[in-house]
Amino acid sequence: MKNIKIPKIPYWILNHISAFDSKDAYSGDIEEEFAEIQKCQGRAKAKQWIWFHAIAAIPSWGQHFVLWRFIMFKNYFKIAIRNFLRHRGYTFINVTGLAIGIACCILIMLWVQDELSYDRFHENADDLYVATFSNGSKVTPTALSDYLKTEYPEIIYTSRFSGQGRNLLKFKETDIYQEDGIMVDPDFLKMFTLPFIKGDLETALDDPHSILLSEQVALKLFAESDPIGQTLTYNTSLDLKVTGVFEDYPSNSHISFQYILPTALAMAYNKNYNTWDVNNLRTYVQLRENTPVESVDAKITDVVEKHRHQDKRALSLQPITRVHLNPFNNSGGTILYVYLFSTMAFFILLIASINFINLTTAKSSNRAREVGIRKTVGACRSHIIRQFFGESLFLTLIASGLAMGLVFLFLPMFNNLTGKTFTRELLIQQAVVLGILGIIFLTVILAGSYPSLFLSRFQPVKVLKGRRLTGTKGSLFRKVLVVLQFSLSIFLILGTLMIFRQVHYLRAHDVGYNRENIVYFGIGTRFRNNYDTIKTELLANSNILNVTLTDIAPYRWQSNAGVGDVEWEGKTNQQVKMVMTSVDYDYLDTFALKMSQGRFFSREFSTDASDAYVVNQAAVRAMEMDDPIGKELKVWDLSKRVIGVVQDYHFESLHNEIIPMAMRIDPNWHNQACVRISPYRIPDTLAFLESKWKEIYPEYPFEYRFLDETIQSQYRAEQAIGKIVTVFTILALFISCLGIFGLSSYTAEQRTKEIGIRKVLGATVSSIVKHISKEFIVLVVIANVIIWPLAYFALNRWLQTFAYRISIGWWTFVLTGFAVLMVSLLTVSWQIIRAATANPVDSLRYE
Amino acid sequence: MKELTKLEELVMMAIWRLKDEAYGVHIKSKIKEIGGKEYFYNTLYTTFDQLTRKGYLTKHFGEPSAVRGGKRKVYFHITKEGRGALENAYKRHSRIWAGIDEKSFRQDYS
Repeated sequence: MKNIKIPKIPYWILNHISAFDSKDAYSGDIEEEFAEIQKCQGRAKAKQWIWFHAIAAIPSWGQHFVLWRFIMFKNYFKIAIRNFLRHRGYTFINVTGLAIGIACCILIMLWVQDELSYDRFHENADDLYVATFSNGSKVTPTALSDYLKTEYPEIIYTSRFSGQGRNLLKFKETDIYQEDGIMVDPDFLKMFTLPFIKGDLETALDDPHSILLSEQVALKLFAESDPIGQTLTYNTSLDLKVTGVFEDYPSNSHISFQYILPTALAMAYNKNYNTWDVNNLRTYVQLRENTPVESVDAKITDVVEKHRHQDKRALSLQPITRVHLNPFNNSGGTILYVYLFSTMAFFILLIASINFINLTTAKSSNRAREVGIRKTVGACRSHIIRQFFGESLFLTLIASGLAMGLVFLFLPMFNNLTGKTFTRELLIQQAVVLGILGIIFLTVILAGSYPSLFLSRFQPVKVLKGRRLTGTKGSLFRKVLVVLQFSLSIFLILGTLMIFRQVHYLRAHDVGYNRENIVYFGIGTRFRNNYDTIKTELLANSNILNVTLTDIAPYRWQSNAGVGDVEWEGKTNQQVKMVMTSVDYDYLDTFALKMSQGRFFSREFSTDASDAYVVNQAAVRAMEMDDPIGKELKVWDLSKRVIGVVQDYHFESLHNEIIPMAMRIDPNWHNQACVRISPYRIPDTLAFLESKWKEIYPEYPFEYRFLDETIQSQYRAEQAIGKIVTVFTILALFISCLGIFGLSSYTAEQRTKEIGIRKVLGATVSSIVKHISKEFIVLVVIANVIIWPLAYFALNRWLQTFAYRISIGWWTFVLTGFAVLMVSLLTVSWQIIRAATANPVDSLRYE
Repeated sequence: MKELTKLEELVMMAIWRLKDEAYGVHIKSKIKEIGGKEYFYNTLYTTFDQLTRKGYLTKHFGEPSAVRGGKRKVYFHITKEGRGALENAYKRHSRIWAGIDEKSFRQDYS
């Protein structure tokens, strides 16, 4: 017989739009008639016939499916609303918990997304790297850049990058001190995405005497006029031509700058600029697209060592997108907080979802009969699942709406807390919206899946026959979830406490010197050359206690000071590196350092200026010297005798250990003045300092800082993190308590009769409260027992990242456990006391 | 007892006339023959289902055949109740049309 292939699409439509008792016969009939028509009138006619039938059938499908679905949806919706309204309290708890949880998640997501976005905006972001030594230092020799570019074909662009700090820019009558200058090679403009507003990107840095300004700086200096081609005076002495204006550089980058100078400028004034001997700037490179960085790493690992034998550190390339998250190329850095916050967000969402699961399944007996009836009149399990999933979705959506409101409301506060500048407009950006949808989806899955599976499992026969569903299996599951909830809360609290104790420890730790009331400011040659006169004049003011000079501001040693190899008398084979700094005779008194051996530099010994080192205890330990005084020591090829040992003091943040260091006197290096002032009449003293400054430098404004403020700012990251963590921890505990509040009130409601009977038989209120709250308290105790070892392990690992850290201390655990116990006891007994003090007559009457 | 609708009546009559040959394709063509209008299978099967539920029709399965894509035919039969319903319908029609024949329509014009 002839081939009767039936067109698939209309056949499929016809088969799928109807549900008849004898569906097989129906499609069989269609096939038979199709074949008949094809035989008599040809295939085209038959096709036409079946298409006509399929299309004509669609309206009836519409009637069957859309209408019925809509009717069922209306019913589901109505039932859901009725249920929510009947159990207002529980709905409130559910929605509040979810809303707070989702709001927390959204805020944390904003933060995390912002942190992860660092340096991603560069078009070549994936090919840009910064040369990094194995100890995490990114300070490399000046000659490295050119060498890498010429020797390795994989490296297509390289640029030196050195910060120029704060400098005076002057155009006609306008002069400003501008922070954040950088000095780079012309390649820099090709590597990093830096849109120009004016000027030619290709040639902008070709002239050594050129300067590029950010839009903001250009506006400050030139106001409305065109800056291109204008000449401005740099630090009162150098004339530079403006060759370009770039858009303000985004803040989510590990570098920041307001104006750019060409490296050629420095080379023009220093013939020996390109050298392997000094590490003083960063080297950025761009690899050819799709070059595996490992292959380049393998080739360049000993480049610095080849040229400078004493430096044994391996060189490698770190992606610039990792620098912000992971500044020292190890496990530390912001990435830790990204993990920490993401975990917290998930925990909070989980806790809120558990509330939802627990309350929904606990209240399930109310819905059991509804499920039974629905099933008896023909609903299948998938319908019930769909219904309850829909309810979860509905509640989650309401909660999400509220959460958005909360986020909107608390965003300024969150900005305050984190130091970020999130705007409300950010909330409608694509990535953020996707994230929010993701959170909502996750919530629905977490919170909705179990209740809908649980409720849809009810068998009509059982739920309709039995009067009440006890559900012991469900209650065990609920208990497990409560334990999980409280474990997470306790973990968060322990973490918060530990962060706080550690930060407090860092701040209160004895740093070994007095950093209060020290004002410091940068100086130049004029100040240095007339130092003795200036000092006498300054000290004439009774509120100025000490004045001293040094080469590096005391809080920036490790990052700025040169580190050199050391030779000494009796050296065997230890490798010791030392920080070397130049100080002045008054350094000891100004910073209130203490000597441990020998003496400090003194004007009474003429040799101190040329032939003396003072080292710290760490240095003595590193060199394993028994009696360092009088020993010959060679740092950076400078041989001098050790005259004293100063007690160790923390010149840097306590993240790092104290490293060996040596002090010498070499006034040519001095560029920082440190002044200890008395705590009284500080404004007057500062005004006095300024007037003196103006006498020496009438053309520069007086800029100063307080040392203690600078040092505090080093712990700002931890402080901010501490605050954020606290807020979220409190919220997590709050949501947990909301959950057991709901559960306990449900228990009290369920056991009204039991409580009544107990009272009638002579139980006191306290014994009833004890009896019932015991069930919850046991759960909290179990949660404590489970989480303590885990928390100990995790927190210990976090503390390892600090060189100076607190010991964990068992009392923190006991205190936390006790506090959580008390809070949950209060929450639970609130409801139970209400039930227990009720008159038994009321609870037993309705029988 | 509810009266049969026009379509139900048509379907029942088609099945009655077809006797043992009453399955989908035949019923459809019979309806076209006696009712003058082609119906869709959707409509017909919906009606079959309704009539079966009302107890007017029973069905039995026939043999599958290749031309039907291996699917069985379903044959419909009128039950006792079905015949009763048809009888009611007939009586009603008779009452309504009593004393009327084709000539009656033309007389009005003259």
